[in-house]
Amino acid sequence: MIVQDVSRIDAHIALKHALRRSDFELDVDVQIPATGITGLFGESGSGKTTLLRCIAGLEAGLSHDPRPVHKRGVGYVFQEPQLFPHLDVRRNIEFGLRRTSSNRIDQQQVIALLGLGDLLDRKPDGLSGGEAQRVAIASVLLRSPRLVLMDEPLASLDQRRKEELLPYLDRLHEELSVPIIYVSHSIDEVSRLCDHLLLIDNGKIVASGELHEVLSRLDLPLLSGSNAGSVIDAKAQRYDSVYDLTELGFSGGVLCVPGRYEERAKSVRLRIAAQDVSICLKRPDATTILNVLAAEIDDVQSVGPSSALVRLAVGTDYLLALITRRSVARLQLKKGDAVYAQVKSVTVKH
Amino acid sequence: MPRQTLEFAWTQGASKLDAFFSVAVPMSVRGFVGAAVLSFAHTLGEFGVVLMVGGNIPGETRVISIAIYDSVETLDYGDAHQMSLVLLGFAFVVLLGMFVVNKRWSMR
Repeated sequence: MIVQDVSRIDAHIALKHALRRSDFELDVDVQIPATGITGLFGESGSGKTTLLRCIAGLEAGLSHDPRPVHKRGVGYVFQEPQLFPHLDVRRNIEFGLRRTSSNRIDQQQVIALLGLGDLLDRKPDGLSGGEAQRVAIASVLLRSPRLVLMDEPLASLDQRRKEELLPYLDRLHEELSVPIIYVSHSIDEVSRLCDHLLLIDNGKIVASGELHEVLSRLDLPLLSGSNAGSVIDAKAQRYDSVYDLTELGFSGGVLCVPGRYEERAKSVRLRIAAQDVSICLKRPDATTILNVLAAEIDDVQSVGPSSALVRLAVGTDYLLALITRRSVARLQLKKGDAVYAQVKSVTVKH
Repeated sequence: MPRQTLEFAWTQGASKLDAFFSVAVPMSVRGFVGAAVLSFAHTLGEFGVVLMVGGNIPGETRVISIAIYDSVETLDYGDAHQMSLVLLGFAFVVLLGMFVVNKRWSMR
């Protein structure tokens, strides 16, 4: 039995999909914001791709949405870029454009945003994986879709190509208003790119909400262990040229990170993994760790036989710390305690 | 061709028919040409069906394989040898041409 619908209500997109197979059941009924990037995070086999295929209408014969795939106005960026080998890049990106009546999105802007100017006359088989993926993204965007689905667009690329493509995705996010659902099994990628987060497990949405909020929850098994961590938006304040460090200010104080980040108005997004945060009752002074922040314990939750997650309030932001249950008992950590958080490493969105 | 390429075409606004003609057919051109050449080469040696359908009218439906047969029947071995050699050479050239073109395409 299948029910499905992608309808736009106010500033939200409703996703309502159900699908039953012998070995798998998908049952999703959730609303996502009609702007920004929504991350869809889950383990492999949790139904991420199946959900995207339902939204696009690619699950053959299972749809109650009367519209065929080509009339849904939903763009799909596959993991492996699917370019048409017999057309050059220009005609590839115009393929969808020639089949739509709406052109809300400016072709020259997209070509510039994705850096395709020099590639237009090339054939797809002469492109690198990252270039091909940029072409695929451009052709999807030029169709002015109501919603863009991206299925692990970086997964087929090596680390260097990923780093190459990420800034383009950031730019799309900043300059275009098309809502995107971004599937990934990398919490780093999701933390870096998304505004909103959906967690999927075994065909069901187990959490949905604003990124910072979902990441700071302690009750989600998907976000325990190495996936646990928080995201903080900070602003570059000062660059220490002697030691090549930038001081980034946020609501709970200052964090030092290696390298130079421009002192600009725009905030820098930091991800701090819970396993890189430790807790001290007194301010440690003889430590090699640069980043020590005054914090208050907001919640403590066991996440396994030996480990516990602690949520620390620093200013209006949260940090998560993954520590042992023995330490929780030894230091008698409980909600409301004033402690110091030592942060060993910080990932910065460049 | 990968099914996902067709799925991409559909999500890009092409109906199934449109995607068939604007994506599947052009992507399969190589296959079509290969099939045409092979059928042609195969038909060169065809004997029974041609004789049955077209008959053996000189200058109209007589093909080289039947001409060779006729020559052998009339013990005209010289002509038969010559025509056989022409047929062999022609088939070889056609197949060679196909392999060369195929190789060039796959290296593109």
